Amino acid sequence: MLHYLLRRLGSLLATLLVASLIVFLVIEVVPGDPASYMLGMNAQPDTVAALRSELGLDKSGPARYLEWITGLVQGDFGQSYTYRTPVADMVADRLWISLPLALYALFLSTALAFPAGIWAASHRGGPADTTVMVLTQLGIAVPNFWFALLLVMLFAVNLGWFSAGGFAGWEGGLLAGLKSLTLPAISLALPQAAILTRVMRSSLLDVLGEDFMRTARAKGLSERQALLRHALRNAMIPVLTIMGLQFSFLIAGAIIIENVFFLPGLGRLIFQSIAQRDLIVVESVVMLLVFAVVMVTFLIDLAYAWVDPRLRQKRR
Amino acid sequence: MNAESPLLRLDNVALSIHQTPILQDISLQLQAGQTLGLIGESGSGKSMTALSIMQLLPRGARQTGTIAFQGQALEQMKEADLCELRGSDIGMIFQEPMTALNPVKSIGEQVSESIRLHRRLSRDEAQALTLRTLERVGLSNAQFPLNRYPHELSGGQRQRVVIAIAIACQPRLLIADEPTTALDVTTQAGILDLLKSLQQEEGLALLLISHDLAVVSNMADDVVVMRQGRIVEQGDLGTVFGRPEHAYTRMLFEASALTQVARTPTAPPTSAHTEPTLLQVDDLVCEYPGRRTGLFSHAPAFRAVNRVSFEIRRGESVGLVGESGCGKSTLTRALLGLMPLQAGRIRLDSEEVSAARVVSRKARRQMQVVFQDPYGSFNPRHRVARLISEPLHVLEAAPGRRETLQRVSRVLESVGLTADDGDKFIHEFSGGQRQRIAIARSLIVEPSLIILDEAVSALDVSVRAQVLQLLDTLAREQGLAYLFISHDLSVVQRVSDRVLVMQRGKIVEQGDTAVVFRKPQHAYTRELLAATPQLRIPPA
Repeated sequence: MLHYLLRRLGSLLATLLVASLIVFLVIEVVPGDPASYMLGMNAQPDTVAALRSELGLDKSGPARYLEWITGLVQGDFGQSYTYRTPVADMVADRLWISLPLALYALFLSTALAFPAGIWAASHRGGPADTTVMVLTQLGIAVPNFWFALLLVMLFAVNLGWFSAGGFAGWEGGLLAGLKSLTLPAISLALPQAAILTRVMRSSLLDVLGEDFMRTARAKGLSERQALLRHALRNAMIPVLTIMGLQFSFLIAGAIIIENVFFLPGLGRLIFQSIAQRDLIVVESVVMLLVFAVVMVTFLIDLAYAWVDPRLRQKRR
Repeated sequence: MNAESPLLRLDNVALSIHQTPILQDISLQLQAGQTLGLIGESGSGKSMTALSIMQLLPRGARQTGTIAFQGQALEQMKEADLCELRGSDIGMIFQEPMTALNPVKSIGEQVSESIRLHRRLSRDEAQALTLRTLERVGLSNAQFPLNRYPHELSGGQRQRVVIAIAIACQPRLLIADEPTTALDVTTQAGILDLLKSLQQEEGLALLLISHDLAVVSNMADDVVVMRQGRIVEQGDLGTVFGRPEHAYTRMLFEASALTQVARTPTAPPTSAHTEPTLLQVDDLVCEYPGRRTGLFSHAPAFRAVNRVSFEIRRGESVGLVGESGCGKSTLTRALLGLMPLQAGRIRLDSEEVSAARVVSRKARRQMQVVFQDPYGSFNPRHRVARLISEPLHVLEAAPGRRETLQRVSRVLESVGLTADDGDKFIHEFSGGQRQRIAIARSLIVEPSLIILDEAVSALDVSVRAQVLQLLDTLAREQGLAYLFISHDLSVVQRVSDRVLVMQRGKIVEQGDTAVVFRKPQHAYTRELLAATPQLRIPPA
């Protein structure tokens, strides 16, 4: 197990290094000079040059990469070109919204998808299965921002249970924070839950046809016991893969939902930074997302090993 | 329960699945402590009979008639009561030990689950009983601790775990559905001995389902012969096996290698030795790289084929026997040029094929292969004519369309099919017909050697007999040489002039088939022969 862990950890570091290089190179070749963008069309060339040297843009590529990467390792993400504030603080502020939102949405989607998938698989071909399949089809087809608008109209405008947008902040307590994230989390979770339900269902159906399920029934387990004790864990590998992908997407992919609910999250930050050529922010946020994706993949790998003993043991 | 009333009794049981009749008019009984052998070919309804007794039928199944266990009609019992019965009073063992166990649970968990489900025992008591049960099936705790997972065990060991699950709660009835079909002969002998001794110790009744008449003859007191969902003959072993009444039972006996159909030698043994050598293999070594142990270090390579030498003459049929994992398949792959050689030389028709990185077209044309699985080795979207004509690509000048069609018709007819079959898809054929098509595919380039890798292992005895007959005829008519690879000694004995015995990558014995089978020299050959079940017919 330790061997497996070290190997995964090694490949994690290598991935991060390669990713950082690619992120830096790609963003460097994007056209548009931040300095001239910040100073406007009519700026004097020497003013632009002065700003460039102030921002450190006149240094060579490798030097800037080294500076950036050593800063990152120490938690110093540099200064935003646009706002002249530390990028780390900007990112941290946004992360306090985006991360809980992603976790909340993932929790909701899992809490919906697991029972629905299990229910559909154990009633294969029956009305329950058909209902779940139709609902998940809807969930996948309907865009989540439209769900979001419906939720706002119902729960915020008509019933007044939730606010229509904005973030109350965590200062008011956990519940207040969670309350203002509830509608966005539901709108994010629904389509994800629909996908996850389908994966759960088909993965379970595959496992239910396996020989060892017959052995389980022959032992005297009821259909339900056999499903929960023997099928579920075997069906988890594809489900975990999808959950990993979904979490990575939820952290950064919530731009539209953040806009609908006026949430100052990471998605909005990266969108604004690109528009303003605030390259250092873009680089840092992208790198942070890469880090999140790689970490999630690592955790999912660990979860695989936990679920399936064949992956955790050295071949004898 | 009095002595006369049977433990298990089936009366006029019929079964249909989605209105398709599967079983009809099945009546049989089994006394406590007795063994009932249920024989028949695939599709005869043996397994469905077993699943009916377990009341574990697939969706859409409808059963009529009565199945009484200890005088209770099973089909009238509630599902919860049936769950109580399954695994406790009735245990079941399945054919495929590789997939019958849950891969993510340890063997201890899987055995103790059955115990804790039916016996009110504490965790420690259940654990102790699990240990004892595993010991009884021959898996000592020292060597196989409870936290082992199925993938760490061999097929035979896994089958022992499956048996442990089935007997853990001391059932009155044990249903064994082809329990040894997927196992090697020596492993099979061990499992059959185990079942026998368990039966004697516990006095349990055994319903043994098998297509192998020899296995049944060594185990059963009574026999039921099934065909197409019906019972064609039943009675005590001596009567049914000694004087089979039904034509189908007699056909099964003839088709099994039991009544030896003498092989017509392709040439008299003396002249076979004077025929020119077709395939010459010298000191062949094939290795698989060892597992990576560190960044730059590997475990030592695994030598699957270890300095193997043999030859095959023109028109000769050579059998290669050995247990799974002995290197048979690696050797096949090496001969076909699908695997790099670490050392040694392969010469085909005096031309060295192992020297070149890519096997020459000529060698590919001369050497063709037929695999085990008649279902998986064809592309289902192509018509048979296209499937058969595919090897023509290896010819220097591929024939035109007309000539191709002619060749396809010719080979189809030579394997006993018709030219029209070329227009059909593979799913329209039975297993035996598919294997004929596979042979036709190998014949189309007029090879001199066909490697048959377990080519008849998946076929029923009657179909197997037909395919073997076909191979025999083809060999005589076309002077083909065969390398016949099989774990089934009776088949090899029937089809080969000479036999090679392989153990752990080495050929430990080779010689004329008759001589090797009569006077085996090597201990391993003797062990294999001793483990092969022989048909015993007790007096009626």
